[in-house]
Amino acid sequence: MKRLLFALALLASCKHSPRTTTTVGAAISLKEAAEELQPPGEVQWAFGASGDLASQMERGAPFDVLIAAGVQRPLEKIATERCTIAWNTLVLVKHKGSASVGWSDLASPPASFRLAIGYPLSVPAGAYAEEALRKLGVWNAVAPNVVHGTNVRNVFDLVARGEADEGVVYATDVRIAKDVEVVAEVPASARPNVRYPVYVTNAASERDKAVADYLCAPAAKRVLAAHGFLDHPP
Amino acid sequence: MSALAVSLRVVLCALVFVVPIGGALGAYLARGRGAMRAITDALVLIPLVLPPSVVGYLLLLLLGRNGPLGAPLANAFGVRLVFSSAGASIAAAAVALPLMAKGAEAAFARVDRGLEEVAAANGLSPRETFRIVTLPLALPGLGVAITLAALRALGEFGATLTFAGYTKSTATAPLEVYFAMQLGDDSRALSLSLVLVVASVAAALMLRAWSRRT
Repeated sequence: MKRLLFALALLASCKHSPRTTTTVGAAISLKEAAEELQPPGEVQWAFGASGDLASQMERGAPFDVLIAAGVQRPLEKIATERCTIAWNTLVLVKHKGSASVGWSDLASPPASFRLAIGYPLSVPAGAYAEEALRKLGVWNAVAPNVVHGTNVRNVFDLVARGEADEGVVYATDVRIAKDVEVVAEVPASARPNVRYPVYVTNAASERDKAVADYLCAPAAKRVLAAHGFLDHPP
Repeated sequence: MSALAVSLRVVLCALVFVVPIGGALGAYLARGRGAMRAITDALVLIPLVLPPSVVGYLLLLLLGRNGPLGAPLANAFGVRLVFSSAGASIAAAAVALPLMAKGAEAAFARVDRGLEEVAAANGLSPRETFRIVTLPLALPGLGVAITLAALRALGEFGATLTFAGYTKSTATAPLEVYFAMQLGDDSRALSLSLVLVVASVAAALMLRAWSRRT
């Protein structure tokens, strides 16, 4: 009997998830900024590609608040968009010291040139990058040179390591830079509307709603602005 | 389904390296003695006991565009392993090699040394002894080792994603299952999973048949 109790106690200790903690999903581009936010109660962040987080949320992952880097269509059935917490812009980046290929030069990329973008189906930055490249009329020319990152920070890392010659990331990602330089901001004519909507599931608890209220209040927006995010559409 | 084609290609390319290198290592481990053998034994086991993400990360540091081996490869031959099926094959080979080497070691260790001595006493050269006596006797065990190595290569996920990345030419079946699942594409994730289940069961049955012959 004692042994059984001991085994059960051991088993119970494997599941560590304090009930008082609220989990909030957030686009990985928000990482440094989000960690400075101070929502009510204890919050643990789940960072990742917004599309991955949204599909986890849709399947009942244990979080009811999500700050995505773009509109997540699959969430419309189960969640409500509360506000836009911030906006952002795209930049073309390259490895420090390597040759610079501008947005319009992508129409005729150099031999063995690799352009890293996020995997468009799950990484909003990748979908925005594709949208911008299409608007610039260079997508078809550069598509064979495109390689995919699993989230926008992975795209950044691929450029930092020199595995990709250039990449498309958010302007705010460059603030964590080393060995990476900005080639150019996305031209105004092709600029996608990069915004961060705050989603709350329809089954959210009062505590989740309080966290969302905090995220939509001016104080939270100020923290993001201090990290280079825009408080208005670009 | 292209993911299966990528997987097949990656596994076969990995085996081209894993079978001879692992086989030779196994032969050495079965017959070698002393400190050198002990060190080789420990080194061979590293990819088996390390988390695959660490194996992939170390491969990236070593063979990446700016790595000590990757930089000369890229500069001299224009070879870039990350985001290529060659990179995926290297990741698969790295994790499959220990299974081949240890399996081959067991297969060679089981060969009766007396029979080899008889062959040698009858004037066969070491090479002939190996070809006519040792290899046929070790063959069923080598078959088991190759099957296990191939299955490990087929199932490789962590090292592949960390080292080779996820793109068209590296999208093996295990990676495709993960990303299809992430996107909520259950029909794709499930159909690929079923194919892998069937392949594993078939391989398990094959293993059984091979082991009966040893």
